[in-house]
Amino acid sequence: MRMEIENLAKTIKKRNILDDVSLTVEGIYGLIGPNGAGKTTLMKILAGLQTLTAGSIKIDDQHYVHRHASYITANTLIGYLPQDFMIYPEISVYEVLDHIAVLQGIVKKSERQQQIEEALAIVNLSGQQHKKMNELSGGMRRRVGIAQLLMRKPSILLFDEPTAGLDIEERIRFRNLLLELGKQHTIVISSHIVEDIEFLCTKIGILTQGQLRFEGTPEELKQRADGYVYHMDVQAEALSELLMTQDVTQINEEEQHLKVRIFSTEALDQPRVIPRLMEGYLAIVRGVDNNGK
Amino acid sequence: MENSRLLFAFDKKSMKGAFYVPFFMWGVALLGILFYASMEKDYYNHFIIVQGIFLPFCCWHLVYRYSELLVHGAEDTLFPYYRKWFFYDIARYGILYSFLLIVLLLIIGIKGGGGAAVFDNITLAHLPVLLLFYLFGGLALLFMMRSVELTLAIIFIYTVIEVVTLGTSGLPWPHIFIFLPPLPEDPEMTKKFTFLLLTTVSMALYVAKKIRLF
Repeated sequence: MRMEIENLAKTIKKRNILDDVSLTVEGIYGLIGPNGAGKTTLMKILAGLQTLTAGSIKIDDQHYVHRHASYITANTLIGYLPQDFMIYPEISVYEVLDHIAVLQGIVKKSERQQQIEEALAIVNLSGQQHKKMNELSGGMRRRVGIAQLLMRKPSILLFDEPTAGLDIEERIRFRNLLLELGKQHTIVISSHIVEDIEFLCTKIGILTQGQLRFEGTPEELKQRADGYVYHMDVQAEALSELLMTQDVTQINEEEQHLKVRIFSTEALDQPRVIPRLMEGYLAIVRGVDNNGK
Repeated sequence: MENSRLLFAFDKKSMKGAFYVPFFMWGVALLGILFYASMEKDYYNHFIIVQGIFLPFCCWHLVYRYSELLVHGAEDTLFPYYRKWFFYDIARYGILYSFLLIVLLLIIGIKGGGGAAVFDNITLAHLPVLLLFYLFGGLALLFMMRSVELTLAIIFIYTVIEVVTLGTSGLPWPHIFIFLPPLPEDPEMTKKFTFLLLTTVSMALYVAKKIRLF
């Protein structure tokens, strides 16, 4: 499923939260940008939770913002998981999902049961269904969030900072789950964590100050930093000064010295290396014009 | 019907003991009507009991139910569902409370000798509007205050002061209860009714706007 967003704008008290944003969502789409860039606002507009000031949203060439409408048309195609998902803290996972199924209009008990079991199996929570929501870890709660979304059978899933605040094990499990879901759904992930985006996404959009600065594949993003990334060997005692003066993007410890990667728009007398996604992101955020190089 | 059963069952589970509070207060009102108020002397005390003990608790269930939206991280998920079921929620609790109100009125009627003499049109019109006032007032305050405790505290402090002082507290807020048998064409009564209706409609519109029905 393909979602096209054209000239989307959101203004609050004369401040542009989103400014003429146009992007085409397909596959697993990563939305990255600094805090306050407008990622969550964009997600909430797509989920029908916030108004838009202008623009159009098309899903498979069908318009979902009618003329003069301030919200996206209510639909069951899009499911949104907020960053801190938590509902009915004192109720068990199964009962929460059962209630959500009722709210979705499923009256028949056997049908609800089947949907819940299927959703719990997908998110690997079948053994946790009798635990109360407030007894679950952050990652498990988010998986319950995904389960309740899946029961609606949406085609497009929106995840706001899905791995933020999770421990390493949960983060890996969650990332793998998103990858698995991406086989059958169009997914939009907003994240600060470039590694997650690199692992998951087939297409990336970078938002800063409400404007889309880049849209393309991970490879295209890396290319934006081509020629600006250097490799340097430094002694441990020289690292502090280097960190103060340069954008160090990676440090590897070797036996005798440290190997560092540096993003720099000024030419350095050091060997250039192939850029990584984080450096591509820095190039965009720093406004390096390397398009078509 | 099955939807209602399932939704009530879930409310019972999520509210735990708090679910029974309005029913308990209804029981208190019932006992008050049966054993306390005298039909001969102050028959209007029966209606004061209904107004002061039972009707204020008609905000209770919906305030608790919609307070789930205030749980950190819940609003974005639950809001679309709650909006979809808003009319249904209002209807199921409105019908439930109306039924309980009718039972109390029937008891008053039976106690008064089975005649309709104890009822007057103004009181009979006033009680359902007061029910709606609390139904929407609770939700309106909840959306304003974003706190169950504060919402219920405001409602019950207001009610207690009004009932204890029989509407003569002198505090600069509206006096919406009727404490004496109403006289037709009483300008005070017209003022009271107009205010009550306007407030109820305003609060219903405020809640509808908050729940994004328009």
